[in-house]
Amino acid sequence: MKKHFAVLLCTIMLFTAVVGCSNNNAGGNVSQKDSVVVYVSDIFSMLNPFATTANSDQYIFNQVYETLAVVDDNGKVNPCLAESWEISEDALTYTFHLVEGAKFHNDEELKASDVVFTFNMAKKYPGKKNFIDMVESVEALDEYTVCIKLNKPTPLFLVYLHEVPIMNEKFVTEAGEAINETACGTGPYKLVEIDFATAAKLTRFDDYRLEPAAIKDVELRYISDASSAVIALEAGEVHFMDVVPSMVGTLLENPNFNHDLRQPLNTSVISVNTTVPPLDNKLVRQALTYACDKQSMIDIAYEGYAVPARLQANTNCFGVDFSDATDFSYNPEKAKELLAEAGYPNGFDFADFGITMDVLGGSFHEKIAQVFQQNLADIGVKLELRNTATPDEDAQSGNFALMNQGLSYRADFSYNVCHYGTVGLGGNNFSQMSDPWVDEMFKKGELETDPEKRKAIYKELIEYLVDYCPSIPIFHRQMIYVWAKDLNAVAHDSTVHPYYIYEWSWN
Amino acid sequence: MSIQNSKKQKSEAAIVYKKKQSPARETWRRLLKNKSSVISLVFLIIVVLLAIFADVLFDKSLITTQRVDIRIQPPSLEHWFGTDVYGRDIFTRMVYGSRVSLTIGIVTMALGMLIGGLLGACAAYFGGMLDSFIMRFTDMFMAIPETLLALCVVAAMGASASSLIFALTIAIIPGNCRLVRSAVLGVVDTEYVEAARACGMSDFRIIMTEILPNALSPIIVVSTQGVANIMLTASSLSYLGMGVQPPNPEWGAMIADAREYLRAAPYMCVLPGIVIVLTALAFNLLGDGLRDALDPRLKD
Repeated sequence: MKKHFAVLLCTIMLFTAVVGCSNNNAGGNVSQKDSVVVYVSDIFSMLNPFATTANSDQYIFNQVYETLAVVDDNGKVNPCLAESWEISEDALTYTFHLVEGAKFHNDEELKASDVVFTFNMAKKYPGKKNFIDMVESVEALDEYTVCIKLNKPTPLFLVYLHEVPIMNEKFVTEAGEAINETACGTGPYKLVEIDFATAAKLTRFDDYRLEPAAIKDVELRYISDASSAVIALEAGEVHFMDVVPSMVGTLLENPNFNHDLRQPLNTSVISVNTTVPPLDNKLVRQALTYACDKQSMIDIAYEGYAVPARLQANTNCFGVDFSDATDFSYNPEKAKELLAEAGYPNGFDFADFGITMDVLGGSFHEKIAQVFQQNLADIGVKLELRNTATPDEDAQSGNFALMNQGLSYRADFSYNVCHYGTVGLGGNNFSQMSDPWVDEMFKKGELETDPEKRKAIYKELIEYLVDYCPSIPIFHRQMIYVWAKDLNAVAHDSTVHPYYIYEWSWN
Repeated sequence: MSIQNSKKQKSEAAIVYKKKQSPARETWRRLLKNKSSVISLVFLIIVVLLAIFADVLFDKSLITTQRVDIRIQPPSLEHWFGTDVYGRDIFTRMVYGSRVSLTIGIVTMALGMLIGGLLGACAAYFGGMLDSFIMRFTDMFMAIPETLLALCVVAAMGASASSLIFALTIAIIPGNCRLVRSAVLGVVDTEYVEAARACGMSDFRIIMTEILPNALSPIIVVSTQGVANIMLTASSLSYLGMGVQPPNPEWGAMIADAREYLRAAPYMCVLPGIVIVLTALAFNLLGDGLRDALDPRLKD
């Protein structure tokens, strides 16, 4: 009797397992032509675009909100809510002419007062400081004309506009605190509902100022486990996803999917606090940089889908030219020589300085850290790794010595003043470096209007920065996007603006 | 005649000798009759011996040396369990990882049983206010799930093997305390304890020589099975990144590292997983066998 019962139980278990594992495509295809499900790798945090820096939230904003101007993959600034603009001689005054008849999702029409309201609102939040700090004043000249005055010439100002979604004054004022949980823009999609822990549902906005979107319903779905997400993609439950390289497997050869590899403006770096010993010694920093086997890091941590980095910017960015810069390619012998020169002929143990390396566990950064640990062991330097859940906060406050993270850059090297300049202290200048000459050069670069002269300034600056080793740049990774064969999707370089579902359609 | 007599005497002596067999020997004899326990014991002995003699049998550098050229290779004669994402030999890492896992399991159980056992024994022996105090204290801790409690302690102390041991010890003390208390309560009123008291033995001596040895069998069983539980919890914590830090191998952490490659290279996850399951199962089956062997009602 007992035996029969056991056999029965085993049969039921096997049956359940088989049914559970079967590839059921039917579910995904039911309403395929009218809806699309996009995988999101992180939960949503809040819907106030100025209070959050999470990429997952940004994916919603990209569909729901619009900005005065947008930047394409070539770094070119194109009109959006501003159909044209004029820039004054001194590059301090920008006059924007808004498109007429653009409607918010609450039926209000876009007016200059909304733009003024948006910029004044954004200034209250530290998260957008990089993009808005230079704005002196914003003024509505008439219903559809806005004048923005800057306190210093900012070559990237139009680029930064892409990060300031235009909000509706009436909606925000009425929503009050609720603005963290709701959204109302002029974009092609409007928010239907959101569960911050699982999914955001959007639907087509029929009064959109241009042609209505081709796909009606959109779901941005969070799946906590990346391998489950890949399975969902293969089962047709998810139609578009960014795949981490370790999961790519045979997806790229699979005829049921399209894919695209994009090169985001992003550097994976090991941030170094240059104010704590022994990292305050340039020779030590140079030795650590020489010790880094970047190619192994690329192979192990990113399956080869990356190129070695030399600075927190690459040559696809205006002003970046490495022709005069020192080549810090993998060279453990040179690293040992430099360590000896710095007074550590037998290497050292970071624990003696109370230093461990902070690592965001479970990410590719952790793998970089483990290779780095081994590289250092090869030159006689001992380093312990420590898991941290708050890398960005620790880094901004300077409460760290060594940690690895991914940092974005922009299409113009002047942006990097936030990584290397005194102005970035407390923000993205994790190295805590403060060098008057570097500040001066960045300023010269901003004020110079002749592109060739600017390039020369940055070339000299880059030579100095590469030699200074304020951080250890590892690689510029590629993003791998995979989507269903019948979906005409477009992926972009930017990790903040990777896709606009408005551009997509089903075959 | 005399020869016959002497033979008879000898056989009687043998019978007497057999009857006088110590309880430990008797338990051991009955344990050996239980097939699954014997297999488990052999398996555990192999695991322990491998862990002890790892330095002689394996090249220790293999656990940390990264080799990009042989990364993610399936099991082969050269690499029995294959290689991981850094090109390190998984079998060698499993063997060295067993040191960490076994140490955590055994040391935690020993510490937890020692402290919890003493508290439980005192509570049962002295009774009264002390009993109430200790029991309410353990109630408080038992209200928090073990893993959660351990997670909080590790988060506060920083992740390492020693803080894992500390955290898990704290987590298992309340359960052990209750177990020993109930076992001691069963013997504390027996006549031989009364007799010991009447002889003027000190409380400490009575607990150590009269009470604990007679309450030992449930403690042994729970300890054996508890080791398996602790090893699993420690692996779970390492899996969550709260355990032993890289590059030191630990079973749970190895599975966590391999999780991303479950589809591309399932052996990286599955083989360590099987070893964890087998080890935990072996401890459990051994505990089962010990329970049967120690139970006087099941005497043959």
